[in-house]
Amino acid sequence: MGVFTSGKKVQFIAGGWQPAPLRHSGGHAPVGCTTGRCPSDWFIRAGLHPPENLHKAKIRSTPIFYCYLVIRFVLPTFHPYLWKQKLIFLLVLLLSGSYVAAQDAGIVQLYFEHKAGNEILELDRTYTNDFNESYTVSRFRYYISHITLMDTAGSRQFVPDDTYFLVKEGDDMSKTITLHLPPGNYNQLRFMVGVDSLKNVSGAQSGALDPLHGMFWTWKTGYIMAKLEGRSPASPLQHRMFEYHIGGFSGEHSVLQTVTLSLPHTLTVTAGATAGIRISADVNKWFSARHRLPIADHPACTTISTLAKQFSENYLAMFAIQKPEAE
Amino acid sequence: MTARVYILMLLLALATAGIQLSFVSPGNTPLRQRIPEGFPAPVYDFRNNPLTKEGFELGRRLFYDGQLASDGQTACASCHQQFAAFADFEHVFSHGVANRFTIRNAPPLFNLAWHKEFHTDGGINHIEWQPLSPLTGLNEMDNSIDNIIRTLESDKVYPEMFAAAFGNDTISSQRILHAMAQFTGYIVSADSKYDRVRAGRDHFTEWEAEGYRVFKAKCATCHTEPLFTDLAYHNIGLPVDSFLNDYGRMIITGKKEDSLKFKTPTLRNITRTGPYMHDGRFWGMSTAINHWETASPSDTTASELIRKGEPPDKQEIKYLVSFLHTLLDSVLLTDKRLEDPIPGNRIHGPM
Repeated sequence: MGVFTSGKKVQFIAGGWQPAPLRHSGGHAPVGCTTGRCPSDWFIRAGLHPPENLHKAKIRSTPIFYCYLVIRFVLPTFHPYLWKQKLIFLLVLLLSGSYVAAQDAGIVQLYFEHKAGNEILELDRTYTNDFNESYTVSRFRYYISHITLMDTAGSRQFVPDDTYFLVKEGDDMSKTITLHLPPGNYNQLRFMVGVDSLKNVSGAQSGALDPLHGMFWTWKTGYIMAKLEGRSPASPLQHRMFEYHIGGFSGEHSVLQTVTLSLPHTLTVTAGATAGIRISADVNKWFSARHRLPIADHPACTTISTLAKQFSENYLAMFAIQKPEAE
Repeated sequence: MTARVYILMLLLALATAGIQLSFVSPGNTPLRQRIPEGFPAPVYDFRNNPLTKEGFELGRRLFYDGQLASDGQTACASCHQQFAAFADFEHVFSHGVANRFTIRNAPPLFNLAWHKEFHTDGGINHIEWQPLSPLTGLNEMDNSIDNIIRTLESDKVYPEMFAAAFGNDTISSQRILHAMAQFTGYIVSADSKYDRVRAGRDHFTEWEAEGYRVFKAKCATCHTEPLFTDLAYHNIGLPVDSFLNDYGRMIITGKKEDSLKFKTPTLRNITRTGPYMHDGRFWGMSTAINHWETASPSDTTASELIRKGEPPDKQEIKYLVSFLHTLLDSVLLTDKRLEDPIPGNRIHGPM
């Protein structure tokens, strides 16, 4: 029910995450397959932009294509900057080309739908939470990473490569995450809400982790894992605003949460076909799930704290596999 | 099948040729990180940000470029001047855009590749992230990443410099931060008289030698050689400033026991980096050395080294001042490679 499949081939989508159309987005958006086996990933790791339709097996199994790759991308970029990685990339590409071509992946798309209770969430529209406080939302963003699909065949898990996605209300492209998985039957989905501690301590990042997305603290290094901002008459603050910037990646105040969702029906992935999973995220849960956090009492949370952890334990519960309205 | 093998070999040959070409072609010059004799292994070794002449030069230009601030005239170098060992010469607080002031004394910038954390409260956990704080801080350069990228993209020289440093002219926050880390991480101070004496190429005067003896007895626990800082956080009993209300490390960790702890400042080039302490409260070196005197006896949270340690007497302080003068690194202060590369540059400061 919650899962649907279609036989339609889909166009290569930019990793489910597309940068806002800023002028500088010239080349390093995290485009790529997430199977860890597609050459487009190696392009990204090597700091290059993958050519379109790279994942299509027919094109990449031709020798001419390899020549094209080397001449177009590898030779011009041999340079002390990452040259070792590029050489390794080239060798891996050459040696495993036939393997990749043989193992064609299926596509799974995760669709995030934002809600406030039973209603579809729209920015600046008024909703009511469980404490009867009316509110509007002006910003709602969160990171999704470490997406894992569990196979029905047993405990085998399929973990697509470390890829980070920023889901933003108001940016529909960001709400679709495209994964390339080996064909099989999957019945459980798991993902992290936030950015793991390693990426918080490893220096400048790019793509969805670029600090220009406003999800990074500059006075105390660390990512804001989830952000909810808006206004409510219940708030005692100026402009009746409320603001939750939830972060903290280590120790007792870590807000890193892993969500596990069972799929109501087995998701069958076949080569070249697209299957989808609809996931809803209910903003009302921020205020009342495991902890009671009415806006009147907690209009702001912008530091690493017990309160932030409580908010994270609340928003952990906002995700659910959604039944499509009509099927 | 044979065709495929042939193509593979051809490609490998091409690739190898490409590598060889890159070593002779101009514009791709690897730089070697300097690790002075006797220094520990650096924390930042440029592993994920290969150090090149082009990357370094880009970082250097960014460091001296006022366009990075919202007023177009305040550069990193406005408050980090080479002649002051990249601290802000004789400024208690530095001047941000629109006559705003910082709330802490600007630290000197050298040997940063050995630092695990940045800011006197240690809030920044990586050298690459560090510039974001002054770039976006309201009381410093007050700019946004988008705006900086737009500015650099429309500049005459930057697209070319980014291409030289990173292979193509895409300008991203990561590349800006990588280039800046190549510049700031490359700055090393290890050519003072003290270093020459250590290497057996010079001699301390009598007073300097006496000062070094006092230093080892009374200061070296926290101002550990050869960096002259243990890179840790200590409360030396300075009373909190009631205007700034700066509780240091506690702001970052949220832990009571970290109240009023600040990172041990390095003593290298200390004669150029005054005024002293995290808020620049002391002007004179002797006063700063004598910080025992200002420590409140009732403050039981201060470090035991301060509460139970024996402060240097007047004569010892004079010896110490003599010794501290030997830590001035005139090579760093006049290194041409670190100078302002922009001809006719008109940025705010320095002075």
